[in-house]
Amino acid sequence: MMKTVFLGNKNDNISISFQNYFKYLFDRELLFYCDADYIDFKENDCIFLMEPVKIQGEWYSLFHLWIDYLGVNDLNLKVIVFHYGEKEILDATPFFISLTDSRRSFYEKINSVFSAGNLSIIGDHNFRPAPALITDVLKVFFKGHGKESLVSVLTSIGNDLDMGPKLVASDDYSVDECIQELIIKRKLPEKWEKFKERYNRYLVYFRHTPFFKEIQGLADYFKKVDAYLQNIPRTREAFIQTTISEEIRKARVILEEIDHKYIGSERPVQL
Amino acid sequence: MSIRVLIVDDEGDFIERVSFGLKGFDIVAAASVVEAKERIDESIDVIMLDLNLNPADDNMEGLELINYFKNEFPHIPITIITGYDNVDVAVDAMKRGADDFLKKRDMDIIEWRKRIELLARTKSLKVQVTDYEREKYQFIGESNRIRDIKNTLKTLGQHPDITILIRGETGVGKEVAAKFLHSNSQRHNKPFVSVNINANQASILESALFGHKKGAFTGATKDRLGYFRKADGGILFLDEIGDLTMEAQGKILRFLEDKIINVVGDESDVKLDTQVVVATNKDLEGMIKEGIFRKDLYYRIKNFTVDILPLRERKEDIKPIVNHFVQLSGHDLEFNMIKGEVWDIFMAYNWPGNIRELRNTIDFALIKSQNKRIETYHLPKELTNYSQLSTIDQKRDLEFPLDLDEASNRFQLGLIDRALSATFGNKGKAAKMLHLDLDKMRYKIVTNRFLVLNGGYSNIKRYYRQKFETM
Repeated sequence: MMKTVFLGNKNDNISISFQNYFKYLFDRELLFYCDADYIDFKENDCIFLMEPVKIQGEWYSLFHLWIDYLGVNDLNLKVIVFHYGEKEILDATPFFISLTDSRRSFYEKINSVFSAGNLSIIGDHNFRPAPALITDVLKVFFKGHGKESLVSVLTSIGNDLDMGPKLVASDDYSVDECIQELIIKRKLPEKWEKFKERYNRYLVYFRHTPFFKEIQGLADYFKKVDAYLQNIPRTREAFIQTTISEEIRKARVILEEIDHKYIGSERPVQL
Repeated sequence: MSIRVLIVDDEGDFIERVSFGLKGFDIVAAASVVEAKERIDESIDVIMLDLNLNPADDNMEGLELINYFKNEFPHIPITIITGYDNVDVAVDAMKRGADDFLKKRDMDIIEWRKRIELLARTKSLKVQVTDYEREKYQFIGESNRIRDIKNTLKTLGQHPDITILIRGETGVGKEVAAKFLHSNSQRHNKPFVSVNINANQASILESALFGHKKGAFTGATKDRLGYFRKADGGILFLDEIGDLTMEAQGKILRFLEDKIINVVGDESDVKLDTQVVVATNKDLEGMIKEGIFRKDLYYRIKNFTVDILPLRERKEDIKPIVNHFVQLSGHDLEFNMIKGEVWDIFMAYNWPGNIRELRNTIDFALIKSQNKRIETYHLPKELTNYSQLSTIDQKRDLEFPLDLDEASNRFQLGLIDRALSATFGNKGKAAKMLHLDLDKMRYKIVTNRFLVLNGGYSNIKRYYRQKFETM
């Protein structure tokens, strides 16, 4: 049986009420996206979005990001948006449902979407229930200020970590010299911590995005970098053989892909 | 000596890292366009330039800096440093003259070192090639007047948008002058395209100059770029501009005024950055009076006119020019390749075909001497006859009573003979060389029964060709 994903969380009273009500009306289970360990969109037939959502005290619209994501990945899901909105606009399409609709209207609309076959994704990009899009805040995460883009910071750290082993292998440099010049003098551990703070600060926003699991997965790469910086190899052989910059490169590639496909902070990345 | 690298990048963090990785290199850092211009000099071997100096200006500052470096320091190779995989920007930079590009992302410092070392080597090669080019196209000459012309051309070379007219008799080296201008100009890294208007049929000249679209006319089976577009960014040298049709003159004028051409078969305007240098041995003002050259075009091209003197008016240049040609033929001047009497003949002769004739004479003599020392008997007969004639005439001058008309007539016929020899029997060119009306020359030849035993006036061309071949 196909499942339905709901973009709410268990700690939210409205979400809990809606889950129960939905179960009562349609006898279908709602999955809470924000609390799930993993959701395969291909195993679902519909997504409910609550618009707008409140994150860190501000309201954001998720709708466009999700529509883009489903479109880019060719996921043929129905999207139903719950919204406290203008009735005339919401009535014009079966995909928008006002939370103030009567129970009958509510039931009929959802039922019509379920039974409508391959209605798939809504293309109305004029719909904007909150003053800010979630993508706006994520752009700041990626783009940063001036030349402090996320990718440029990661590239810079990655290049410093990559350069040392290569220089030592060329026999023109010693391990101590490289650690001193590239890591200690250039305050690499501090830069790394600053980067992680930035990542952690934005996780709460990513929680509402369809690529949250990928973002969350970056932590595995970051743990390896943490371990390396806490215990940098001091012998020539161990230093040369390290591949820690590769972990950073992998993380950077994932972030770049997300940015490129769904956020579009690029204009060319500043380094 | 260590390789000196100018890094132009506003990110101190990056410069620190690269400076450490390029141990042994002499690093000069500049964080802005202004600093880059202050710190660049000929001692720099490689420039590393971040195009994205100012995030707000979309690479323009960096791209314009390439133009500046290429104009002011053409020998110094430039490698672009890109922070992102933007192929378009890299292509644009390469078009502007950048020699390489390095990606900051996933930088491999060992690879960077190798590429910078390689670029540094190309600097010295570029210097050698440019010196060779300048040598190849230099005006050989020690006379003050040639020195003045060279200085004038160098000065004009610093004004890449003016149109220049080069005038001079046939064979004086108008194209060499144009190439000299090009190799000393701001456009020296860009194409030099030379077109002899005379060598192109009038019917296809327009297409040859401006290009055509496939199918524009019968026979246009594919697109043709045309000389103007081939020379885009560089210099187009139009030789024998006096031979242009009136229609083509109008189109050239339009280009000179608007820098726009229209490709045959395509109505859209094409904007070009091509400097035009024209040359002629004709009297353009006379042609205007005759109604066969546009007055407006003449006034557009005549502002910067360079007159190249005929060789007979700068005979002190003969020796260095001869030595130059002998050297170009692979001979060492120390072996004294030219006998003293030969120099006397060279200095006495009036060289109606100018430097071209002199070069042909040297080539001819070297073939006859089998690349050994050139003696008087290796020279073409015009030169030795001229010398004898001059001697006889000088003696006759001393013998009285003197038939002045006969002497004058004989002298004139001697000149006609030499002009015809120099032009291989081309009557029109010979008449021009002598500033003589063609009909008058014909009258002189016919009434004096000149060459009558060799086929007469109508066979002059064949006679002189045979004469040259049997020499």
